[in-house]
Amino acid sequence: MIGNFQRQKSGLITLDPRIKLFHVVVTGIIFFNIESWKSMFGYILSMVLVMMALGVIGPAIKYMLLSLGLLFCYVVLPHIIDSQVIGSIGTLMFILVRFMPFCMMGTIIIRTVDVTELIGALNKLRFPRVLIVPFAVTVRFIPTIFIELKIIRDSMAIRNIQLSFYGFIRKPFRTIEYLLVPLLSRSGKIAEELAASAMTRAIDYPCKKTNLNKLYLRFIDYVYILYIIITGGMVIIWD
Amino acid sequence: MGLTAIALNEFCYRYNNIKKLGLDTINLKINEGECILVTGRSGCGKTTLTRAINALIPHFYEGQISGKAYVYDIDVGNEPIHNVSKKVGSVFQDPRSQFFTTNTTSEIAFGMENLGYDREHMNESIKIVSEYLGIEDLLNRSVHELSSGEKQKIAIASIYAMNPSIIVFDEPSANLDIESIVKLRGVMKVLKEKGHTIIIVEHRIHYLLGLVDRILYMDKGKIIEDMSEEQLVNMKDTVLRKKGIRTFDLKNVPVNVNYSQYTNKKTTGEKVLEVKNLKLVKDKKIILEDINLDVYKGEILGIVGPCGSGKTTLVKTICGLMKEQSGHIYINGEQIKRKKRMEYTYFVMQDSDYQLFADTVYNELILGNKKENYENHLIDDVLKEFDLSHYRDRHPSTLSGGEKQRLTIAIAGFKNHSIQFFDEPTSGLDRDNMERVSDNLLESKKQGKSIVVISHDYEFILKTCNRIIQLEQGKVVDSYQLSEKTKSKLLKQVKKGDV
Repeated sequence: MIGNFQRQKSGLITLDPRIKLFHVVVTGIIFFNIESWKSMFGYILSMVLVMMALGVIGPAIKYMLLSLGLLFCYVVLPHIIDSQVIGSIGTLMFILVRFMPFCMMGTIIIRTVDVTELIGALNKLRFPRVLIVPFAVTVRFIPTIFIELKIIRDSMAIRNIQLSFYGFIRKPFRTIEYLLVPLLSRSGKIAEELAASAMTRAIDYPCKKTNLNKLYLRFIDYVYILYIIITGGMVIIWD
Repeated sequence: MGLTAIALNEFCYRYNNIKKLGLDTINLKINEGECILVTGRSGCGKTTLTRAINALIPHFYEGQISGKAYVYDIDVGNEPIHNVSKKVGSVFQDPRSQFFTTNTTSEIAFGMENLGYDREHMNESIKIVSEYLGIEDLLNRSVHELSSGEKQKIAIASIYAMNPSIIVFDEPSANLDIESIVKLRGVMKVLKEKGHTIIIVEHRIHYLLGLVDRILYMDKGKIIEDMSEEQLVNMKDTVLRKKGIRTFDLKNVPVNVNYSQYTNKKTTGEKVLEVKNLKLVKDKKIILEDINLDVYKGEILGIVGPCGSGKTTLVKTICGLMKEQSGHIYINGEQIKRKKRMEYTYFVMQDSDYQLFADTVYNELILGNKKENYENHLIDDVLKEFDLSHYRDRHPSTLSGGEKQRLTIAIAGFKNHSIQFFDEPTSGLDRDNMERVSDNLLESKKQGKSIVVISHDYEFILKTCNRIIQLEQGKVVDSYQLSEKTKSKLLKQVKKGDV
């Protein structure tokens, strides 16, 4: 028996996509309401744990190390080297740290939420349909762009077009052009075929869409909501 | 005679912003259960014809229409596309760009979800479809893990789950290896036996022998001929070439047709490239192991093998794009370090869209070359040689697929590297363009260059290569000179995938 074809498991837990969208909202609130690096770091830590539980381990470690590095520049470095330049670099780094939770949220959604699941979740939340399809397509498209960029970088190397930091400083527009021209021509083609393929599979059929994966809140989803509220609340109070 | 599945009456279509008619007075009747092959040169209107059937024309590609198209009793022009979608399923050329989801099972369910089927029905359909197509082991996996052939199967499954009576394939073999192509044939056979009407648009037709009922040959938007399989099989090669139709039977393709014309007698056994004990590990998996390989001056070496056997990785490693774990690579007798190897080698990758950066064809040739290394008249010579002179000032992205491919090869020809590598240079090309690529490579060979070609296009390999190495699971399993005698060895690979 093949049985049911529901939620695939890659990490320790699987969560309802709606809860992840709720997490995005909480992250937004945190962004505007905390100031100190300690609470920011606390929140990042809480998200690293979530990512690990969801099975997105590699990126979780990378984000962790990156924020440690950036915070080092902000917190420790000015004490070692007393210079205004270092101070302002540190502040710049802290601004990057503040954006980190959003990047992490993006990674979580792209890595763990399937596009049809996302469409289902947004449908249930009564999002207008005109917004759902473009949003879903965007989420579907982001990983593709990274794959495409990698191939373009290779072919630039073969053509002897240097894609280095130095090259970028010397001829920034040229470099961007070389990256963008093939990327756009590829993206245009992929987007067209993707849309055509979705059309022939009745994406605009005017009926109530169903979902292969049943969306319902389970115990673990409630635990997660509680976790988000507690960690979010704690960092705000702590701040 | 069964029901009429598709009928086009005096159907004309012109894409917006294009002067030429895409389809010119098409009158066509296809009966339920028929298997139709549509072939013809690039740009002859084959794909446009499929769009008139699956209702992308006029609902997605806007343009001017006259005449009528019917799918059963549905008037395609006047009813919304989703009514047609229930009857007609479409499998597109590039499996990468038709996936909406990242999970294979949700992908199969995608169309059914859109039609609002209930969950039990969907689970049942997925079960049945995966049994029919033999893809139970592909369910619930990440799309990114699959090979092109497997992706193609999921794409077919997703269509099939919606249970359309008509299935349209647009160049389904373009991105597949030879084994997957033969398996694709098996899938088509199953669909035909189940009574589906099948329409296949293809250049590479050898795998369809014995499957199709009728062949439509198109030219300039018109259906010129409507023939039986037998008629096509009996056509002489000279006639086929004139029409730009590829061969139906690989056995009839003579080895190295144009060879004598290009053979340079002076070539000696001079080794240009030597690979010794190459090993490459990626993500803890052994991709290449014990690779020993020589490439001689003035030869064209073909690398064959199934998808995922490490062909592209091998070439990327030799060119220095990937790092080997161990082993040595010698070019012209000298051991060359990874970063330096790019200066000696040139690699034309599979998709030409990635490889064109400049704003004109002319600048494309100059790009990446130092001024002191070329003279202006040489560029014009190269453009002439590749029949691109009249496109000198055009933007590369406005060229057709075959022309883009030719331009990437021209760039390779212009660079003075001693070894050139090509990855699938003929995928999606019609006979004219395929033979042109073959001629270009033979010409470079005549000039003493060494060429290595990765290809699944056996018709092209037979015409072009003089030596074959076969890769399987990261190892060289066979290596031989290609001649009429050893041809059967190569063709055995085609049989292998047959089930």
